[in-house]
Amino acid sequence: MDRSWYTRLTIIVAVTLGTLWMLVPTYYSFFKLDRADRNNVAKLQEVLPAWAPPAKYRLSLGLDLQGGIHLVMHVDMKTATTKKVERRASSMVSWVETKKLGALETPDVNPDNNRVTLTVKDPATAEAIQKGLLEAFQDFSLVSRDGAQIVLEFDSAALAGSSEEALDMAILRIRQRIDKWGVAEVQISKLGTDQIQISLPGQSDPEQVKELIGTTAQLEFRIVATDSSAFATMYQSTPPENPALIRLVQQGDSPDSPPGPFLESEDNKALLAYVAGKVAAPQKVLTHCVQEAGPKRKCAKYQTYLLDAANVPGDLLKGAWFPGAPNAQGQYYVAFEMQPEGAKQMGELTGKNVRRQMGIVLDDNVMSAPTIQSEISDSGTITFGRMGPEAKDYGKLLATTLQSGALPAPVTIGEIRQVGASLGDELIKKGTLAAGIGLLLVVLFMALYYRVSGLVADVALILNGGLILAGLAAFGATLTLPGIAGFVLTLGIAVDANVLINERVREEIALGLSARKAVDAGYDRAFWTIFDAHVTTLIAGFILMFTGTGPVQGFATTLIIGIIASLFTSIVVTRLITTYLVHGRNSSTVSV
Amino acid sequence: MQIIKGKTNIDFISKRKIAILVSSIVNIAIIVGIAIFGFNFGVDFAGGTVVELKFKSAVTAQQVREGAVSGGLHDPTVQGIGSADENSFILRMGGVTQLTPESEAAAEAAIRGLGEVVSVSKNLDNGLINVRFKNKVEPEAIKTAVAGSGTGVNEVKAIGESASGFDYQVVSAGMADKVKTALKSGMAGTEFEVRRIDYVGPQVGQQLRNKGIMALLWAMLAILIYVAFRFDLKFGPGALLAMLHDVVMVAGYFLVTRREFNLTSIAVLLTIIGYSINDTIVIYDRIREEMVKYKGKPLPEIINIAVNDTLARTILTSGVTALSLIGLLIYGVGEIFDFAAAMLVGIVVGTYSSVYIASPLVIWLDERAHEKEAHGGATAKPA
Repeated sequence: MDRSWYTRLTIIVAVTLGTLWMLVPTYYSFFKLDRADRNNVAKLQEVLPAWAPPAKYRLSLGLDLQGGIHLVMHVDMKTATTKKVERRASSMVSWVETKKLGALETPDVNPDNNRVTLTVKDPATAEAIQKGLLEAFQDFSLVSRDGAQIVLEFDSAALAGSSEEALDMAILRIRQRIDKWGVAEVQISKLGTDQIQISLPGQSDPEQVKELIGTTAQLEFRIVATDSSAFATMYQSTPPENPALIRLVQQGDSPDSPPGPFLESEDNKALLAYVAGKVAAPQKVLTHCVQEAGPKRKCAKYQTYLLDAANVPGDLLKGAWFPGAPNAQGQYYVAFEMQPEGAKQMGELTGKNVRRQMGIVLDDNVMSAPTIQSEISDSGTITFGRMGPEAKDYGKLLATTLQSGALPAPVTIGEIRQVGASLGDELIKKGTLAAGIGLLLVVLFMALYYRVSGLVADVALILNGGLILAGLAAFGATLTLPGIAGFVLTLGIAVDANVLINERVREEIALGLSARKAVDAGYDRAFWTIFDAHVTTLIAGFILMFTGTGPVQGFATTLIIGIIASLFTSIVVTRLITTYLVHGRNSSTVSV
Repeated sequence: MQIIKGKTNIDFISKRKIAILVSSIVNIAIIVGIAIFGFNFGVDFAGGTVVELKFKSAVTAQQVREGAVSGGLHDPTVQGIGSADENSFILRMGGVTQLTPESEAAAEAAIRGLGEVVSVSKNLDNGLINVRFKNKVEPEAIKTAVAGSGTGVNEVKAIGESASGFDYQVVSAGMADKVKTALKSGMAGTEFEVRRIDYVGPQVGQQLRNKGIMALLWAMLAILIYVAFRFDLKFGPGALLAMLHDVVMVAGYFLVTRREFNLTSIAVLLTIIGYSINDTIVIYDRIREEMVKYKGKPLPEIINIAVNDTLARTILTSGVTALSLIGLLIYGVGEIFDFAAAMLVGIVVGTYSSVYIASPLVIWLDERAHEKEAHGGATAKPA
């Protein structure tokens, strides 16, 4: 036994202990918690011993094993874009009229190529109108002009922008709605340019999913109450059960925070439940989501707004846009236009409430609450104090919010995979049984066929199995049904490495080498073959991981972790033990 | 214990021509078969709706099918899964939404009955009807009219107005809902539980299929580059052909058995690629080693030695991997059973192809190289 043997022994013991340690949260979540609490990280953290890894490092099950809904939504960009072009075309007509450049016939929109054909009533004015329109409507370019006929095309760059806008908007809305249900581990991500992927573990009610796309976004403008001391009063008279979760704040920290005092919490559901029934109608309480920095736009916390009854519905809005550049005073702004009926109502609402805040409410969430500077009727602007990239981001979001009330991008479901919890439980049982049988057969076979060397390989195999589970837990990956199949397959590949080594050792012994030399030669000669074989499988695994979705990705993750673990267990671990058996005990024979 | 006692000396190489001939014929037959009959694409790729039901009392697939049809479903496929006493069935329908080629005309007629229509456009993939009415219409009235024509409606949205009219979008309800209502009316008195719904839109299906094919191609390319880098370039074509052979053979499993070809099948094919090359590499490694050891020996002989030397390992590895799949074959339901069965086919053909396809190709390429050299030498000499 040389020193390097002891070094390797230390490493292996450390890895084994680390593996067991890493599996502690998983053990607790499956065997110490009730079935219903399996996804409850907070509860798991409570029961975990202090020395264990944090609860988030537990092995979580894929949607196919624990039940839940995976869905892909499709944003119908074509309809959304056609609508947008139509709206822009009709504002061209009104723009030409207000600028007194002449008059246009009803524009003709071709939905296939997003072209607008405008016919000028008096051909003499066509030149001036064309010039003016191209300056004012920069998202359009000139295709052709034939006498009194001007053909404009909606710019493809603007098109891409509006697709992205619609997608962002849809994600925002979906997140708001899911937040309202209080689902624990929701994952929402973009897929390509017009799809959204959502995972809802533990959910099995498709009716709820329909709610996501079922109703169109509701936008409204509602005046913010001047006196919000009602929050302070209710906080004192009936304090919340958990004052750490629901707090009373005097002064907001974000430009969109409500005027103080207001309530604040990380849990929207709890917050709404607390205020429910505590404010007399017609006033009502809605929340504002303070977004985390970063592309995910997750809500960090929620703050309460007290709103009066006076409002204008958002579907009376004609359009909104963010020019992306500051106005003459150096302030960024979002411009919007109202439909004729909307202009009347908006004039009334803002005329009476100058100097007060007007909440822009989308699906019961206060997005922003600008102060009304003067009466607004058919068009207005919202300026905001933010600067630089933050202003651009905010302006885009605000314009999209307004636009979504005026023009929702239709969302349809592209893919739903829904697994009931009972099926999931059955699949876990069958899956573990199947994997168990496979593992047992392989272990038995190896022990019978290679005797002691087979047992050594079995030890490595079991360690490999543990490493896969611990690896999945450590990387926050999920175990899926195909993942279980991948687990079984990986064990087959891991055993193959030991078959290669042992066959090689047998050959060397047949050639007349001593036990020690045969073992060394066997391991050395087999190493590169095993390495190559592992790397090629690893390549297939990585490609599967990057191209696959959902459960198939689970298969790839398991395969990748298993293959890497196998290089360690079937070469390093078995060699250490075999070296001890042959060198350490100075044995002249090796049992293969 | 030993499977093969002592050294074997089987002449694999002499049978290479017949093996390649048989393999080529089978491969071509499978490719032609795929071209003619196609795969039985699962919903992953074809789009459509799959609903898994578990009944509380004993029913047959025939009863479920009849119940579904009498409840108003158009041509569902019903298949029992698991053992008979589980009473579990899979219902598969082509459509994703209730707006189908069968019901769209009736839906349009119902809409046109409501007032003067400027234009109607239908998007069957997403189950949408966009309609522009000359005058304002109540969305609720549109909903009732379309639902009355047999197409369930999720929602009717008013999506704006313009000079030429008022726009509405009819979003039809999903097929899965229809399954529930159809079975409740068609099989009154039986209780069942909906255990799983898979619903894939045709566009998504097509995307998934394209992605799957791309994944296979990328994997082959990447592995080939690795082989070319680690081995001699002349090992490349053999490895590639063995890989293609195995993929085609496993595809043949799906073709012949008519089992569903879906995302899991792609995972199987990718694993088979890895496995196939794995097997090939073990033998190639040995060939390379023996080439150094027995310098001067003819290549066919060297290959025969290499294949014979690794024979025990080849059989053992295939056997052990197959052993590990037994549990999945017994307890795997649906996709997982197919996974295990297709893997088993892959393991068998993968082993065969490493011996009979990959290795002989090295000889063939080597002979070609020698011929070229000889020719080159002959023309060069006179000068």
